[in-house]
Amino acid sequence: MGGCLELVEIEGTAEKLLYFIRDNPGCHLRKIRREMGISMGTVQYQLDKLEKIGKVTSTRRGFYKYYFPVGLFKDNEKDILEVLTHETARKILMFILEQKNPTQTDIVNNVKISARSISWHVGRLIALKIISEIRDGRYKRYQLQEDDAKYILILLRNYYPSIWDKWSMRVVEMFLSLSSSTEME
Amino acid sequence: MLTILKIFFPLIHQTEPFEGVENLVALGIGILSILLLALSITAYRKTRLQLTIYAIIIFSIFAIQQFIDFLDDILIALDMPITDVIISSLTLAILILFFLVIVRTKIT
Repeated sequence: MGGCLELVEIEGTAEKLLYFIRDNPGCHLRKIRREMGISMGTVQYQLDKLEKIGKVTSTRRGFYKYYFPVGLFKDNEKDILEVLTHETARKILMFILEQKNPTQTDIVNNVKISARSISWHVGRLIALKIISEIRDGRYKRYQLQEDDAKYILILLRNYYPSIWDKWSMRVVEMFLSLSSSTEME
Repeated sequence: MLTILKIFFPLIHQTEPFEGVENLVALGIGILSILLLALSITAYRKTRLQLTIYAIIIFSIFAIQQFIDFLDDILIALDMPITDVIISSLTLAILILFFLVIVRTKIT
């Protein structure tokens, strides 16, 4: 009965919206409306419906509400999305995407913030299984988890930080830079 | 011109020439310390990093210090030597906390 209802619910516009969100995780309401050419009222109504039946999830950041397909990342979904709004984490991820498997020194030289701050961000990305660390002689190299690379790239494009997020992370970075550095490669 | 202004606005006689600027600066410090406090609270909620607790305490003390300084100016009851000691102690506390942030090594 529930399955039947679900099939009926995600037909037509709702189905199109669901595919769009699967292809563009982290897109916001206005972008969906603009790119799909549907009225705001219809988009909102259909998205609410998809949220209620558990097909999509949303999170609000500043003025925007962002939508994701449910189960995009299996574990720590919210944490992963949270990390992707950190300006420095995004820069690190973009650099890793570009360079494939840079060392920590490469990242420090490119992103141009303190080694302590980079070390902390990299640690978090590893803990959330967004990137992995590989040993290369005396160096540690970092690479994106192959399966998530495509989604990470789309999310980085769609799910950007608000000014408040950027500023709050700069407070963290300022204090991380002030704190004495103890570990490097 | 100033004489004409003084006739129409007698308050000008009673106001210290730099009082307006002083109030503006005090207001700026108060607003900025509250803004930085809010940013550090957001940072803590996002990262759960212990270091951001120092930021929260430091910016809270800034805001409290500014509030006491403001009350000191408007409330006669607070116009005591101990108030200056408290304000100076808060400055010392801020500096000690910054020092602790610099010398501590363990980041969690």
